[in-house]
Amino acid sequence: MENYKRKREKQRVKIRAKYEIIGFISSGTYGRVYKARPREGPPIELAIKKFKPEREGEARPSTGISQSACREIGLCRELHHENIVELCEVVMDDNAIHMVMDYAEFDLLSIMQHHTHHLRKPLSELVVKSILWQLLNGVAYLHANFILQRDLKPANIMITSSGVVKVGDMGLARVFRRPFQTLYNGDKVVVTVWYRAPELLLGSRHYTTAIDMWSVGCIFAEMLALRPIFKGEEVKMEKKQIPFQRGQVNKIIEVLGTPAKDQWPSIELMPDFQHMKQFRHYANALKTWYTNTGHKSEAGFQLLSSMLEYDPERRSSASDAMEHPYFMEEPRPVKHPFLEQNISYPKRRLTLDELCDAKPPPHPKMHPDSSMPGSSNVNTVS
Amino acid sequence: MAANYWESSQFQRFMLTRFELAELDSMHMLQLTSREITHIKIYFSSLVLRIGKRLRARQEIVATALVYFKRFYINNTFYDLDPYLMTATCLYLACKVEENPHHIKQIWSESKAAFAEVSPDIRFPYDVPDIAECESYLLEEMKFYLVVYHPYQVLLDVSEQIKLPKPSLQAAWSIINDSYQTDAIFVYPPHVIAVAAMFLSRVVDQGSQSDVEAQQWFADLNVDITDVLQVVSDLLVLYGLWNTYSEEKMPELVYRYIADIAASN
Repeated sequence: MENYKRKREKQRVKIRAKYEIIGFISSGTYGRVYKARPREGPPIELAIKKFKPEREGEARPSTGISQSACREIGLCRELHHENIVELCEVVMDDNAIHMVMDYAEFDLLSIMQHHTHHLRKPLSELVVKSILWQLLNGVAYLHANFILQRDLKPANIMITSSGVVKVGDMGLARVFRRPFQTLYNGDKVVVTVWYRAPELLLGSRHYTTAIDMWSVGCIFAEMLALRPIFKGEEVKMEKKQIPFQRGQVNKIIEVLGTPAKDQWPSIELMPDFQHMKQFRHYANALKTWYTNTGHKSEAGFQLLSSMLEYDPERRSSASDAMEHPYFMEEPRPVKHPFLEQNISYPKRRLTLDELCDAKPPPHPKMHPDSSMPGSSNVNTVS
Repeated sequence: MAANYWESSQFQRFMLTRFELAELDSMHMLQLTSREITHIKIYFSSLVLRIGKRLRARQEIVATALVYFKRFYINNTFYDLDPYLMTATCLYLACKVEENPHHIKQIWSESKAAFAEVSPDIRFPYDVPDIAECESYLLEEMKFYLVVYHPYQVLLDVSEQIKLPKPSLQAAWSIINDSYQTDAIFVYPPHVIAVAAMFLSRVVDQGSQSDVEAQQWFADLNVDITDVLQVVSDLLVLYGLWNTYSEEKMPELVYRYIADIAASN
């Protein structure tokens, strides 16, 4: 191995020799994300995701690349679509893996928060529709390629300064074609709880692309209301036992009504179906919920209902949803909604850390999103 | 990607022409005969398979590991990095990528056991962190392109479509396994290899020749038949060389080869 090591070290290019690190964007369990630009070539903006070395301070790796980094890199390397974050290259430096990716100025969570806290007005229908359509376009591409995203939520929907959607964070994504074992066995808990489909909440061992479509439905609703439609209290895991998410299920049935057998014929076969008896009966109130958001389009309501179908088999697919009459209605979706409507949002705030090339300012400010709920609470158990 | 081979990194970045492959093989000609080169390919394929069996890894995982192994040694030699360590590492990474992860300790112990089973002459002085370190080199060498397409899925899809009898399916499946002892997967798209395997399996399995539907399917096929025949011919050459292959002699040959490269450096 020594011979190869010497050979490799001669070829290796240092990440900071090739890219200028402009600022630190955010961090998570996986590591840290930076904004950067190449030192040579066109002056484009990039994001660099630096994975934490396995164990800080250890001279040698002990178990190699993590399953989630392996998934994210392996899949992103093959995915090329205008609505999916593009992975430009992967660099090994300082014993850490660096993913060099497209940079997006915003994410959907920060945009919605700006509307809630600063503008105090809803997203325009054109923006909602354009973002939704592009999101569906990206998700349809993933599904056509037999990939489940499994963690769709506003914080993972990147948006460029002109309003182009880039689905990001593929750390939980996986290929679902001919799985060797049930998907459940691979990862016991998937999708952030507010965006988690009812079949997952009821412990389904097998699931399909419909789980991503439920999340898309929740995101659509959130863009309309500027708050999560099903904002349940998460039950924390204890002693490695996966808890029944009572609060989340309750939030869903308050809006969509108690699921009836004719709506979801296989509901009684769900492993955690017995828990359904503990809830009181609710009627479907989605129409009222929708009207209260102030939106009037009947087609919009129909589309939302079709994505929030209880029965995963009846839930709309991404490609069907893209053909929905809602998108034929005025205003029609556009590719660059922010340009079209001359909207500008405040840029991502950057801070500086030891990796950055610039000198730190006297009073560094935290990224406004880093303390918000739902922005970094992926629940994975492997 | 999983749906479209033509957009894959495998097709766009890792394909070689037969000429390029011959060039690569010729680089070893100073130390090895062409027969020995093939024997070494057979040897390491069988080692990966052996460890794979111990792990009960399914065939696609073994196949992915073999592709990684080959990719690594396109620009490197056995002297640069010990092929036994690389064998274990390729399987470790392939298990992760194919969503059937095994603990690194298990990979290490099963590899060690498999090598000991083959010959006491195989030296495996490595520990668990060596596999982890080796994995990082493998990833870098492959520029982190990890997804590999195989002929198995094509075979399953087609066999369902033309109702291929089970014995023919099994025969074709085994022939695809054998194809990883050749470099077919680096030259031809997976469906060409699958068709070649089905073609060859029908020659072997005379019993189902009357199956009109399958004959019609072959007749209607829109695949370059010269490619298919080339794969078939490479397989037949491989089968011919099986007679002269002797596993016991391989550890010595491999070490002699590594020593020769070291001496010429």
